[in-house]
Amino acid sequence: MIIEIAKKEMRDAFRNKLFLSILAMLLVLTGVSIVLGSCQVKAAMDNYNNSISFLQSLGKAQLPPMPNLNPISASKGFVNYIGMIGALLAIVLGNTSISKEHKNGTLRLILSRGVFRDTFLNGKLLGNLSILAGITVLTGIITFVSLIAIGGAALTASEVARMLLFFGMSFLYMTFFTVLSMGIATVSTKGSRALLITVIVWLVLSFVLPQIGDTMDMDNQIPGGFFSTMGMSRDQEHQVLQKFKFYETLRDGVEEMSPTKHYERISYALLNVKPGFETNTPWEVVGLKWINLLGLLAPSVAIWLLTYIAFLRRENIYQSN
Amino acid sequence: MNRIRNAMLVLSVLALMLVSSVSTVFAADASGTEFLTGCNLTLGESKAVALFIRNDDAAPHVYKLTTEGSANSYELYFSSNGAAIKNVTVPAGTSSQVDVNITLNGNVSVIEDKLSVKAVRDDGKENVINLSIMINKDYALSVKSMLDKIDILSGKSGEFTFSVTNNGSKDLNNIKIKPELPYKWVVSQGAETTMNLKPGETGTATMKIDVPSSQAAGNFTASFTAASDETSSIQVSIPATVKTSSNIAYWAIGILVLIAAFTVFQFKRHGRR
Repeated sequence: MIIEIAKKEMRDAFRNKLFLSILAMLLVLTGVSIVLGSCQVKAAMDNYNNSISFLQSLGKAQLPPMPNLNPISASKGFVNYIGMIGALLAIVLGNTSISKEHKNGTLRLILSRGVFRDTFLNGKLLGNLSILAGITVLTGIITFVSLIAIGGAALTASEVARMLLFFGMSFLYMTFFTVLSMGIATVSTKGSRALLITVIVWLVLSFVLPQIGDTMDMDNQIPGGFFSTMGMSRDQEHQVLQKFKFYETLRDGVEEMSPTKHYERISYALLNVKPGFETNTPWEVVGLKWINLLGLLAPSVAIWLLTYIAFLRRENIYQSN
Repeated sequence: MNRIRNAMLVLSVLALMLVSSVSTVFAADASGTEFLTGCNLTLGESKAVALFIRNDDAAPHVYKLTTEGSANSYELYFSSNGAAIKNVTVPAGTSSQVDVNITLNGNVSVIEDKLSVKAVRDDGKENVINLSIMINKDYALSVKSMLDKIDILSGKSGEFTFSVTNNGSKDLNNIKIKPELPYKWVVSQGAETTMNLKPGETGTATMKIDVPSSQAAGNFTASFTAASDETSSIQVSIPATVKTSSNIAYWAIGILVLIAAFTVFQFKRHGRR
């Protein structure tokens, strides 16, 4: 039964115009960003090859080694697009899957046919996750093909593994918002209200909390940096920082509440956008950044379990909206 | 006759004083043949020797600058107006100043060293200047870390232990470890600890460093220098890997288990509906 519900969910999603418009937007933006990134990689490769040819024409025997072009960082723009449009797509997908059944009155019909409530939710989730997985795989294929065909980059096994893990994180990030959206739609009696609440929660989690964390950073209080503007030495800076340990923990706590921040941190580390992870294997990066992986996984699981409880105990399902 | 001799003695002393008061770094002209100039260095010290490259030709020329022939290991680069360069273009009939920046790193194999600076003109004409470098081993300080790398949990402290050796021939006083740390890392203990070392003596110093809880996990580098009143050592860099405390995982897993248990309880109480 779960599979049947999931299949129907997937068919319905591709009839949803709002979902298709956001999906088209995401794919176009992803395509543009990956193609531009690949072109940058190609330009860097061409520059290097031209320099080598020139040096060889001068008869130089000692040639400079190839610089680390880091072709996988071409997906940096993709992180931002998934952070915004991917999350919106996931919200629309999750909300529609529950609210359409309320609106059309089919929820009562399905549940009256001997389908357990948890089976119904699991089927919906499976369908939505399959769609998200499909989108992730599609964008992954676009990225790999662009990097090889346009960028002319030969990816190493480690880079391929990093990219695959990065797309895995993108999937988990979108999953969180689908689960959140389904949860709120299950609790709320009105689909439009549920969508509005989910979008507000998304804005708070993705923009307000990271912004608060950033604004609360002591060194961001004055443009140009608080410490340098005040003319403080490194020792004085340390003395000030020692007095604000609790404040710093609080500031960090606010930032840690944002799944977007977790997604950004682990993605930038995997894509080598953030320096310091070049020598690590992909699994070592995940090992170091496990807190971010947990920050993406744990809230989804917790919200899903709470959704079960809310749906199980809901008594007004058979009332019309 | 005696008066003349005394006057000459006074004059020669004055000349000596004048020479010693001027910087030990002299300017050299690359357009000349061979010119020997002096530079005194201690271990870890950096000095800039100014060279003037004169182009007496009627056309402007590019000079490629290289160095060779030194016995000790130096960190060397050329600069002009503060910017690092490898070539310099000198307009016709003018001179351009180029600084040779020398830092003495590693072990000293000879006290009196020589360094040849070559300025090869674009038409192949070559000028060589031999610089004599005197190594001052009165004050020499070296610092070594007891650890090759360190793992620290974010929000916790890491202990760095160093062995500091006086490699010079004179006493070194008020030796301190000076850290260069990533942003928001703070020295909680050992910043003010000082020691005095006699020639050949080795001491240990420990420094406790607090990593803020906001520090995201990753690989960082903490650099340290031992500095006394007289000299300072070469910087030693220690790779530091910051990891996240497992306590957060226990909390997260605990909360998840609680929610899961509550869900199971609800299912048992109300059944599958």
